[in-house]
Amino acid sequence: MGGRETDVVLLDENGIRSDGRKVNETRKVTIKVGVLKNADGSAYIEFGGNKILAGVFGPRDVHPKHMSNPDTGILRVRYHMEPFSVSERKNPAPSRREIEISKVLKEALEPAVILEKFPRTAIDVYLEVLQADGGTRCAALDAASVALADAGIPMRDMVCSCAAGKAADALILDVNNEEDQAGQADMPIGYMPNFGKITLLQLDGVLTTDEFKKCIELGLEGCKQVYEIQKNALREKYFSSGDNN
Amino acid sequence: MTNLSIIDKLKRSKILDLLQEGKRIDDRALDEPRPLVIDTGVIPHANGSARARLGDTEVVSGIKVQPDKPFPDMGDKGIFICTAEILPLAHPSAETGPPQPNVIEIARVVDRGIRESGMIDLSQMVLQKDKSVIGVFADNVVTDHDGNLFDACSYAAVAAIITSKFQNGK
Repeated sequence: MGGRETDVVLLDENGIRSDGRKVNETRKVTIKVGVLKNADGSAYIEFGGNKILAGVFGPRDVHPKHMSNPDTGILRVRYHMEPFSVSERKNPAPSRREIEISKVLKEALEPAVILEKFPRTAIDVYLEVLQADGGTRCAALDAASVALADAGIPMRDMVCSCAAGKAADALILDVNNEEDQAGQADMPIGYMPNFGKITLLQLDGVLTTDEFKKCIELGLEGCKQVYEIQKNALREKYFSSGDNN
Repeated sequence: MTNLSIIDKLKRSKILDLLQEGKRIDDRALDEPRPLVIDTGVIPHANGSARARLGDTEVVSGIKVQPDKPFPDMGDKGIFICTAEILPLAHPSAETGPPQPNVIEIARVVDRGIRESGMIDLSQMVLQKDKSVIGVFADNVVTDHDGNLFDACSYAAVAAIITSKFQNGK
């Protein structure tokens, strides 16, 4: 953020963005359910250039034991980027950024997961970014809630996520990497569509109050579109005709 | 929760019984490897990449090529570094944190196999002697663990390296 100088035209005279999208259009999203054999639940998402694997284990014993809670299960989320996922090789050790994203994604998923049914256990969600292209936390959150559903974890709702923001003075849906670097605002949103509740809201950049409200509306539209893709991905695995695993 | 250790003990004796008869639990012949599928170019942002699937073991390898400082005792050679990590989503018993000794062994064995084969000519990767060289980083991540990580990591890393592309030619 911070309007870095760039040669890229973020928005041309016809209102078309650097990657050919309109302002209210998300990148292409595809989700595959049950891609891993060992995990209890898994999902693979491609969100534009983002490629993220999500794996879920649990409910299972908690190690270290002192983390367990006799009243409720606990949710643990680890967001991690592979060294080759970004343009300059990333040190494999977790960075402060990854630890922050792990924390906010855990808080974004917690309201949706019925943890109190599984006291003294942990549900572990592992998110591995194989390729990053702006908006990884949203894509990771989308994959995480599909993987939780695939693991058969009882949930109140799905959590779907999409960012909205501002670049070249226009409000845009689903901020890509270039727009994040050179744009004016990036606002990731996590949303429970059936409750109409927001579980993740961050904002990096500057928006007026009016722009902020419009940005939320725009972002929620994106979330709802992703929700349909999440549902279809789960349907594909569990309700498609032919062999079901 | 199912008690995994009991299932494992039963399975173990079954596997041993079958081996007595020259058979294996997945119906393979003793000298028959599991099917191997390698896809390359799976991570377009990396200089090279490959996904190797050996039975139910899956490894993704990504190559980064970037200028670096040479090792102090090898100023006339480029650097090649190979790492491996069993991601926590690859197996219920895989843990987060710094790599365990068995994983470091995998990384080092794969590293030596590639280095000593001479498939990368490190002497041609010097930009300025003793000061700057080209570094090749091969990072292997295990996304599904069902045994034989040495071979699976080697397949993925080699496939990723030979399909690597970067500007200004090697």
